[in-house]
Amino acid sequence: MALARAQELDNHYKSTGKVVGPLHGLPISLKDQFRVKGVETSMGYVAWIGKYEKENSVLVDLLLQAGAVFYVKTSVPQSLMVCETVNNVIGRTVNPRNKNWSCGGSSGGEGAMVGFRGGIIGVGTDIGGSIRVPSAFNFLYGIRPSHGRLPYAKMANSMEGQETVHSVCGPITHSIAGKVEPLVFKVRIY
Amino acid sequence: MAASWEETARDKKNRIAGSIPEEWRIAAVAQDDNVMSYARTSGILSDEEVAITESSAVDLVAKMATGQLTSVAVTTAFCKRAALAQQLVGSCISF
Repeated sequence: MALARAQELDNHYKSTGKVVGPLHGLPISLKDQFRVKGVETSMGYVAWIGKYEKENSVLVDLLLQAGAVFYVKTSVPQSLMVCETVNNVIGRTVNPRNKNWSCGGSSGGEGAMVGFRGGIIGVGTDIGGSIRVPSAFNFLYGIRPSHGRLPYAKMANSMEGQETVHSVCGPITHSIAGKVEPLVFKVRIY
Repeated sequence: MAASWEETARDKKNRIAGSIPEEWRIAAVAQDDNVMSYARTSGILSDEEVAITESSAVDLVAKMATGQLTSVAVTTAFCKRAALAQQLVGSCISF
C-alpha cells in the first residue's frame, strides 16, 4: 500500500514536474489512533481488531494532501492512558537503546520507531505526556501543541465526548527543523 | 462461536509478522540490549538506504522535490528499517 502510494507520487512528479505538497513523498508513521481508510484502528484493544475504517481522520487527509506516504501504524498501550506501551495485541514495546527500558507511552510505538530511525516524523497524541514522555525516553523532539492547534476530528478514542481533558495531536521527530515543517504546512492549508 | 480474545490477538500478531517480506526478516533476534546500530550491520539495508533513513526530513523532501531521490526509494528504506524495528522492539501494530 505504501509503495503504491509512493509510486503514484513519483509518477505525479515525473509527469508534472511538480510536488504534491510540502511533504511530497515523505513516509510518516501514525500512532494507532488515527483512522486510515481500509486499515484497522486497534488502540490496543483486542475487541477493535477486524474493524476496518471507512474514512480517514481529518489530520490524515491533510497529511495526504501535503504528500505524505503512510507505511506503518505504531503500537500503543491499551486505552492510551499509560506512560508505557503494552497491550494484549502485540505485547510490550521496548526502548531500542536498551531493551530493558521502556520506550515511554502512550505514543511509545512512535517513540521507539522514530528513535530507531525506522521513521522520520511520527504523529502522536498527548493528554498528560503521551508525546513528551516517549520523546524524552528516545532522545527525540516532540511537541504537545495547544488544544485544537492540530485537527483532532474523526480520531479514535476511548472516551469520545469527554470534553474535560482534551487530547491533542503532535509530531515526534529527530530535529527541530523536521518538527516545524508539519506544523508549517498546516498553517498553509488553513 | 466467536474466537476467544487470545485467538483474535494471535491472529493479528501473525498477520503483522506475515506482512514483513521474507528478505527483511531477521533470522535470530539480536541478544544485545542496545539495538541502535542493528540497521547498519544487518545487511538488510544498503548503504544508500541507511543514509536515507539517517538524513533529516528537510533534506529528504528537498531531494525528492528536485528529483534526486524517488519517494519509492525513500519509502522502501523506511519500510525496511520499520520492519527491523518491529522485529527488535515490537513497535508496529499495522503495516
